[in-house]
Amino acid sequence: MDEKEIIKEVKKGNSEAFGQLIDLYKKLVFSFAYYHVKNRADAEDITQEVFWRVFSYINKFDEKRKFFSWLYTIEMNILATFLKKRMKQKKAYADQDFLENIVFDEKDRMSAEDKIVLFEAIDKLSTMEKSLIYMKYNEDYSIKEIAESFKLSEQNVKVKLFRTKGKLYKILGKENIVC
Amino acid sequence: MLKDSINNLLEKESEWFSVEAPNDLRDKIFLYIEGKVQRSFAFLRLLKLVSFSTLCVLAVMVILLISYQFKPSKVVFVYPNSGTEKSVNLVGTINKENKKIPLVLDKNSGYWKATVRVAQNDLQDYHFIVEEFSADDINRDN
Repeated sequence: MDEKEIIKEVKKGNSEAFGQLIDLYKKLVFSFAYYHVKNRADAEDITQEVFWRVFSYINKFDEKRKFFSWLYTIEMNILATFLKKRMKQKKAYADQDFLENIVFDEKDRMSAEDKIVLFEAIDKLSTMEKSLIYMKYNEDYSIKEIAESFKLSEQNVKVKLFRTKGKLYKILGKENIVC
Repeated sequence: MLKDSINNLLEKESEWFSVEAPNDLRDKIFLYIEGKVQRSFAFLRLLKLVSFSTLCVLAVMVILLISYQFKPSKVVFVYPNSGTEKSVNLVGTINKENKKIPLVLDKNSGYWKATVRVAQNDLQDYHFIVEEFSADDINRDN
């Protein structure tokens, strides 16, 4: 079954199809959550909540829209609420082994250590900016797809990405990254 | 150099980092959803129960109010005896009916009395009709 058929089956109440949908997107949803909350337990909670909302509102999903963009919209909303709540608590939240849980690709000429520096620099960006960087450069989504997820115009996404990258260069300039 | 390096990393490589999702995540998601569904049903059941209980309480309150409204209460009508009254009658609209009720003289208290069961707020208008002894009655008695 392809994704569209799976969604149709889920809408009919097929729990097996829902399981397939979870398998397709659990890594994506979990990674995105972990990238933002830096805590496995919280990332799991957010992933569970995302799929609960998918389960609850799947009948409202417009099949003309791309499923992952709908999924990101749901996850962004949950993350926004979660991060807002956590900011008020002012508690230490990140896993001590946070960076150890991230698997860096070693194929290119930038070392894993430098990628960690880059990752830490990205962490200094706002939630929105981090999400843009993640979706564009880690998941390789098109500007159009990102615009759909964030309910922004394509031009707006381009401008935001340009500014975010500028901000990242500035942060990394201060960090003295070795290239 | 820095800019090129970042651009190279960001743009030429897709998924330059990844996070392994827990192996049991699928099961956890299903358990979470199952729990939520059960809680929703429990909440709905509770809501139904609360609504039903509220309706019952309201119904009982309405019944009590109505019964209190229409519950007849005893009203004692008294008229002071001056010694000249031959008979005293109570006339009026009691319980939505025109009635004439005779009062009985209680020699101990010196009052003419009649006890009537009247529904709440249902005593609208009443009068005492007093028949006094005539001169003939007094002469005959003497």
